[in-house]
Amino acid sequence: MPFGRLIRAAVVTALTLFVVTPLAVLVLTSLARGWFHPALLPPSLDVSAWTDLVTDASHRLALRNSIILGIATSVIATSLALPLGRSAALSTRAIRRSVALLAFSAVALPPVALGTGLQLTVLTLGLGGTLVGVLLAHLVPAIGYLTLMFLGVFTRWDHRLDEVAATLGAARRERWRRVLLPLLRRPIAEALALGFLVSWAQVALTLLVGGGAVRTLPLDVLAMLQAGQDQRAAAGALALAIPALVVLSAARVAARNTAAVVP
Amino acid sequence: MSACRTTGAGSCADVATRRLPAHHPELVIPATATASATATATAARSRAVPLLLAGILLGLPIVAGVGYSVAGAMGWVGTAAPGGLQRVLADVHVLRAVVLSLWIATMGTAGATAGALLLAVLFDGNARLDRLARTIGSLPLPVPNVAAAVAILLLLTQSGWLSRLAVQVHLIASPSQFPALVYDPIGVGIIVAVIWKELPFLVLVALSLQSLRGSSLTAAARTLGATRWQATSRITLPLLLRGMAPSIVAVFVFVLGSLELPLVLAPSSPLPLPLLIQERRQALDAASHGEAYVIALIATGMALLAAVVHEWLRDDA
Repeated sequence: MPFGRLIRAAVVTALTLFVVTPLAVLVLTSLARGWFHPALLPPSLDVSAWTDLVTDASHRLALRNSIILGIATSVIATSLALPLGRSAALSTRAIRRSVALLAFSAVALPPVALGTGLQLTVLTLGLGGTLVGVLLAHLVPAIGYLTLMFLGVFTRWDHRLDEVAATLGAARRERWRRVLLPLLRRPIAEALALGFLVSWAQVALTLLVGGGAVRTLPLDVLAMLQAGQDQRAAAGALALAIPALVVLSAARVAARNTAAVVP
Repeated sequence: MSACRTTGAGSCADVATRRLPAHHPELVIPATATASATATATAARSRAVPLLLAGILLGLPIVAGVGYSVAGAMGWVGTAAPGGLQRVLADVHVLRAVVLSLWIATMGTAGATAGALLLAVLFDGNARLDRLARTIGSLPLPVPNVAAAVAILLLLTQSGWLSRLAVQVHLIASPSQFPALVYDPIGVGIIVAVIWKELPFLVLVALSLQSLRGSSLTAAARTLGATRWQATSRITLPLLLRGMAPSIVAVFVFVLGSLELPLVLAPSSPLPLPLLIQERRQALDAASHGEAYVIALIATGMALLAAVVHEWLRDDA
């Protein structure tokens, strides 16, 4: 069927151009020195923007803040969302739906609107412009995402395993340690990764609650862009994609190494 | 199993104990007694625990967020002057911001959905081209919004890469002749960025729906004499759209509230809603602060409405 094949080839070409061109321009800009209009390719390449990300003191601070916030958000949100998702999944349909609605609202509310209120709360607590205040704000959407995730995990869960262990005399703690946690290793790893990424890419809440005092990598990228430092902004923007790229690759490797994969 | 899900953990314990006697006759009496005692305790707890946890972890911040906006809008807290609501409702800038934000979210979501449907229909096989198309379609998945905005800016701005290409092929002579695709009043740049960023997510959803559904329905329709196009337009596409509906609403609402893309790509007039809230919050006069809270409430109302629609569609799907 040559016509069908032609359409498929045309769509793949258009898709490749649409998806790859912005990424290619981003990579080239991050490596380009003195690349002025109307040159299609940069006259020379250098990696100074990339090395600046790790050597420049102010970038290092932003990078450090982003990593601390990401790790703290992922650990705290996972340990809170897991029991919440589990208890909601075990509860009545009405409660499950209310929890899902609340969790989705935490994710879907415009960060600027949510942040406006959270900013006043954090200021009242005396944490305005601090890393802890920003962490509290990041936790709201992160807990929302992870609750939705664990709600999904435990709604499909075979609760009989836990109940059989209980019937056989395993205490609550033992059931968690020997039955639940080993089975939950993969969802917990995924939750930790997702929690990290939610905080890592956050702009609005950091901007509002941090009040400009807490610098993170995404805010640095925006600042560099506004200052006209395209090369450094592009390097920072690409650096922002690295953790998610690692997580996705890890998920692919894990899927390949799993014996039973849903087709 | 379904009884366990709907009635909570208590009856699951009963199911488990009822099954055991054949293999463990010695456990019958004590196990049943323990199970019924646990069942009562769990049933009582199973409502309180999730409600309490959800209330503290999710409800409290949302109420604080929305509550402070209400209080700010009414002039109860902060420095805002009262009367913000009337001024906002009469403000043409707010109306234009709402329209622009809805326009961007609608066009971006529609574009990404159309692209995802096209890929799911054309490339759901196992040939090399199918796998290649799916891989390319999912490439922007790990790219955060800020990075996507920077990439689209570098591509579409008047001195960007497309403009350079246009000069090289003699379509234009100088950057100023290149059409304004970013900072433009109808948000072309943001819409392109939204489609670029959200396409992979919707492609993944569409493909997983396709693989779950299998090809039996389409094959049956073809056997009954439907053409390829009829099978696609009357069976595959409606089923895909139905299954994707909650994800489409989710994308719409994220785009509606997203600050990152407008921050980099939006025009200064009219401003999309999130930027308008920012602008009013940072204004020097106190009256504007109250207006920021009112506009934040409008944005919140739109998002909550979408959240309800999302839950309703999810249940129905």
